[in-house]
Parts: sequence; C-alpha cells; structure tokens
Amino acid sequence: MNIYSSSTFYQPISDHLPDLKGDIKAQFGKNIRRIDRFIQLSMLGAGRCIGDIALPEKTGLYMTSVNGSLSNAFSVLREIYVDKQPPMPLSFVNTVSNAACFYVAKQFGIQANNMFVTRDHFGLESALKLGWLDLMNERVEMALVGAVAQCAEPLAVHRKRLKVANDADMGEGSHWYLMAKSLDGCDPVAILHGLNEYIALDDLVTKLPSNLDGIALGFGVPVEAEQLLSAKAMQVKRWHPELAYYEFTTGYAVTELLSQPQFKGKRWCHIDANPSGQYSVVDIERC
Amino acid sequence: MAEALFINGCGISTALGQGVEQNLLNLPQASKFLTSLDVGLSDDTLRVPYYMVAEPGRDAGPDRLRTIIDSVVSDAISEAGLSSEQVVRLGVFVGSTSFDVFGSEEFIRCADKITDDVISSSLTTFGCLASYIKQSLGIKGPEYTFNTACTASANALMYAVDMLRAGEIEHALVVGLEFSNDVTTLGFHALELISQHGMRPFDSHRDGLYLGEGCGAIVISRHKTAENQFSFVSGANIGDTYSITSTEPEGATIAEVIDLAVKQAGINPSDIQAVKAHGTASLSNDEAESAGLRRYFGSAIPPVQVYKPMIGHTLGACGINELILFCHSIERGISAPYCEASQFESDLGIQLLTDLSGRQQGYYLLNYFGFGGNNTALVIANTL
Repeated sequence: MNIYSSSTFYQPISDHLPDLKGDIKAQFGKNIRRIDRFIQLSMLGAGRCIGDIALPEKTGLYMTSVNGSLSNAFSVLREIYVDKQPPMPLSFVNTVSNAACFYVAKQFGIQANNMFVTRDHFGLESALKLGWLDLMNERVEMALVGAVAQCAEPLAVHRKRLKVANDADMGEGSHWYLMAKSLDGCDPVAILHGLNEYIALDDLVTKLPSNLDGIALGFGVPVEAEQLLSAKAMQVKRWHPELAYYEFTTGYAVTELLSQPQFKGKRWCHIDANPSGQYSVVDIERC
Repeated sequence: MAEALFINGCGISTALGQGVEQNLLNLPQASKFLTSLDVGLSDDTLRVPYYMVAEPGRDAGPDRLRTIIDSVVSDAISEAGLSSEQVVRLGVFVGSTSFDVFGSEEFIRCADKITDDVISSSLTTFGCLASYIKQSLGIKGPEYTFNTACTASANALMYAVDMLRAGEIEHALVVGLEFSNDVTTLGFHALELISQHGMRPFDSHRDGLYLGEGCGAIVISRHKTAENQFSFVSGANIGDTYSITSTEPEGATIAEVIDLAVKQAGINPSDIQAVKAHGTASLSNDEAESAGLRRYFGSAIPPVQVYKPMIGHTLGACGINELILFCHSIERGISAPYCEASQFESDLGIQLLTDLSGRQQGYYLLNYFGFGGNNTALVIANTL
C-alpha cells in the first residue's frame, strides 16, 4: 500500500490551552463555526496532510482517538450536574466522536466510508488497518487516516489521567496519512509494507523483515525486548522518549519517518507494546 | 458473490428480558415493558419514557454494565460452541455511543461535592469496555471499538467480517452495548426527538422515539460451528455531510448505500425478502429512509420490520440487537408489527411486515443510520 502524504499538527502544553481559532482561520482562510477543540485539532492536521492533493471521489475517512473530545464531554457533564440544565443540542451531538469525522468530511468533500475507531493501545494502527482493508477490498480509492489527541482542563486532572508528574509537559495534536494503491499524477512518499498487531515478542522477532534499516521503538517496549530487537536492524532507537505522556507517539514517529530527509530510501519499522506484552509493527519504506 | 460468514452464537439483553427466548416471547407485548427515567433539572424533574434492562437495575451500581455484558457475551460464546483456545484467539469488535458514561455519572453522583476535578476525573476511555471483555475472558486477539453513533455496532460487524475474510482471525465476537445515562437522555430531550404519544415509525402520526437500553453479542465465523441458519453476506457504509443530525432527505445516500451492499452480495433488489428498517419515527429520518427505499426499490418495496417501538432505540447497540431479533423472528416465523395493520396510516409508501410465513429462505436487508451522516446497510441470508 502506498502513502502519498502525511502531516503532524502538534503543540506542547504546559500551563494553559492556547486558542486554536487563529490557526483555523490562518489555515482555511475563514472561521469555522460550531467546532470544538477536538475537531479543530482534527481539521488542522487533516488540512496539512491533504494540501493540494485532489481527493478521489471514493475517499474513505478513518479517525481514531483514545478519549475523543474531552473538553466537550466535560462541558456537557458540567451543564447537567452543576448547572442542572440539559446540554446544548450541538454539544450533545459532538459527544459522539464521529461528529469530528462529519466536519472533516464536510470540509474536504469526503463522501465514502466514514469511521471512528478506537482502542486503549495501538489506536493509530486500528485506523490504518480499517483504511487498509477498505483499500484492499476496493471499497475506496483512497484512505485518509487520522489520530487525534486533545488536552483538557483542568490540566492537573489531565496529568493524572495520563499518569504523569504534576509539573510534566503535555502535548496535543493530530497525525494524518493519505493511503492508496495508486494515485494518478502523484508519486508516493512511502510504501506501507504491513501492519502487524497483537503479536508475541517471539513471533515479532521471527517475522521482522531481514532488510530493515532501522527500528523505532514506542515507549511501551520494555528494555529486554529492545535488546532482542537490536540484532534485527542497523539502528534501533527509542523514539522521542520525552513524549512518553503522549497518546500518539506512534503517529508522531511514523510522520517523522515519512517526512525527514535522512529516512529517504530507508525501510523502518515502528514497534510498540501494550501492557499485556503484545506488540504492533508498522512497516514503512520511504521512496 | 461475497463469501458468507456464519452467525454461530447470539446473546441479548433488552427491556424485554435476558436471552433470545425471553425477547422473542415478549415482543408482541413489548409495551408492558416501557418504563421511564427521571432526571433532575434545576427547576423540575424530567421524566422520559425508556425501555430499560430490568435485571440488574440502575440501582445495582457501576458494576451493572459489566454484569449485563458478561451474561450476554457468555450466551453468545456458549451457543457458538467455541473451545477455550478459540476464545483466546477471538477478535473483539464493540460498538456503542455512550460506552461507560453510566459509570462516569455514577462516579459524579457519588462525589461529596461535584467539582470540575470530579467531573474530569470521571471520564473514561472509549475502549475501556472492549478491554474489559478481553481481560475477563483472557482474549489475546485484536480489538476494535467503533463510535459512529447509531451505526456503531453494525459497522463493527462489517469490519469483523473483513478481518475474517482476510484470514486475520478465525472467529469474531461483535458486541453492541448501550446503557441509560443522563447525557443521552437529556441530549435527545434537548433535540426534541423523544416521543410524547407512542413510537410509530413510518406512520403519519409519528412524533419521535423511545430510548432503550440493550446489549447484544454475536459470534461470527468463517465456518459453521452451531446450528444457526443465518449468515452475513455483505455490508456498506457511506458518510454524507448533509446534516450532522439527519440523513440527506431525498434518500439518495440511503439508496446508494443499499445499492452498494446489495451489489456486493451479488444479488438483485428483487431477491430481498424483507427490510429491517432503521425506523426512528422522527419526522425527517423516516422521510429520508422511505425516500431511499422508494428510490432503490421503486414501487416494489419489500415489507418493512422495525424493532425500536418494542425495545426502544438502543443507539450504537441497535446494529447487533436488531440483527439478532430479526434473524430469530425470521427463523421462527414470528411477525411482530408494532401495531395492527388497520391502525397503521403511512404517508410514506411503507408497508409493515405482518406475515413472515413463507419468507424464511433468502436475503434480508438491514438499514442503520446515525448522527454525523453515517449510513450503513447490511445483507444477511437465511440458508435454512
């Protein structure tokens, strides 16, 4: 499967959440009403990924997030339990996470399969897999895949949710990918050779391709596995361990592998692990 | 023609009872099971009609959801006759709109003082119930949780089938779940979608829906492991951007998604024996669905079955709940129109399914539509 474009919209968060309306206006040339912070983060990343690419008529949309729109869920619960009022209708509708899919689809004229899928771990992989399946089954000609993570106030509680220190930096953003078997007039930036999920370490070691240039390790991979994997590639390195709090380090890493010049012509795998000791592999070769 | 996948086991819990037998038995007298949910507001208590799972009731505390899920999933796996090794390798596919919001609200209600910290701390991940199912059964296979509003568990089923056909899993456990909560209740109230005079899909006097709780689970596989006679044939999904709360009213998207599902099945429109409609009884969505059916089937719309008047709208769970009721109703020849034919007045060209005898073998269409412009159509087959 080919990847034609990727993007990251990421911002570190320390003591407050910066307003995103200016970013939206700068990117889209207008204000977009009725969208919450989660949808803003989604659209900012998706817009960067699509850029000038003319999406085929049958483009599917596949989004993922661990928590969805935390700020909207918080404000709806506050209206109900503190203000003792029904939620505003639009706020209620936006509690359903495919509301973000609706706004992204509307902005970019997408009218095919439209999915919001999630997991506690390997979230990006779940969305990539659905896009992959629909492309293989020729339900869609192109798949727009996005992973979105949002910080929410109170930030002290958000730090507790992420299980990080009271003064730790945090981050929010979205990572996007355009995949297709082929696209007229466009050369791919990379080949997605495979997605392998929920595999045991022994299987992982035997199934990894022999010609890897590097392995990027997610923060879930334990030290003993790192030692085992070090024989499988020229380089094996932990990817941005300082982002250990961030839900989509996989998205961050994969986008860097797809965009930074030193990875051109190289084949890398991103590997992560869940708390049950199962592994996921995203196998990418830059063109 | 698409490879058929076998529905080998089912479990269900709705207001009509626990298990397929109880649900079928109580379908004809469903209105007896309609209760209500009270939600306190600043100036009043709002009473909303609701089809709620009776046992365990809402007073059972935050473990209630897990108790219901355990029994439903256990029924499905047991009926499918899976070995413990097969259970470990299951893929788990969950669809819902509210997940564990019930648990979050219990957490808030139990707090000494409701503060911003309490509210924020109450929020759980969407994937928490899929993780629970996997942990409680020792499942090591992949999990996917879908949050696409009222199409969620129908979409979960569609992609479970794709994973089966791709050979990535041997069996899939697909679960739809939806439990009463104040956010959903007040949200539908705020949108003025709750019926005041009885839920009557496609009827000229329709005025909205009843909400319902429900949890349904199926085990679906590439091979037949049990005596069930239903198979999944095909499914399609299209997102439209007409409106975030209603489907495109001319029925073009609905006709298109039905056409995709039927074409993938490799059959003709005339092969469809009956339609399980989404049928929310809201003014605009019934108009859109009937317009879509007219566009696709012309003047030969098959008879239509709806289940929401009998179990309520179980939202993200309706994909699996209504599939289970539909399959077993067909298998037993149980017609369950929500009203007598003489009491049904439709200005939408829809005919309710009143007689299932002689219709058992063949193909059936199931429609699901949701907020966010999400539209899904499934085709199942009864192979006898």
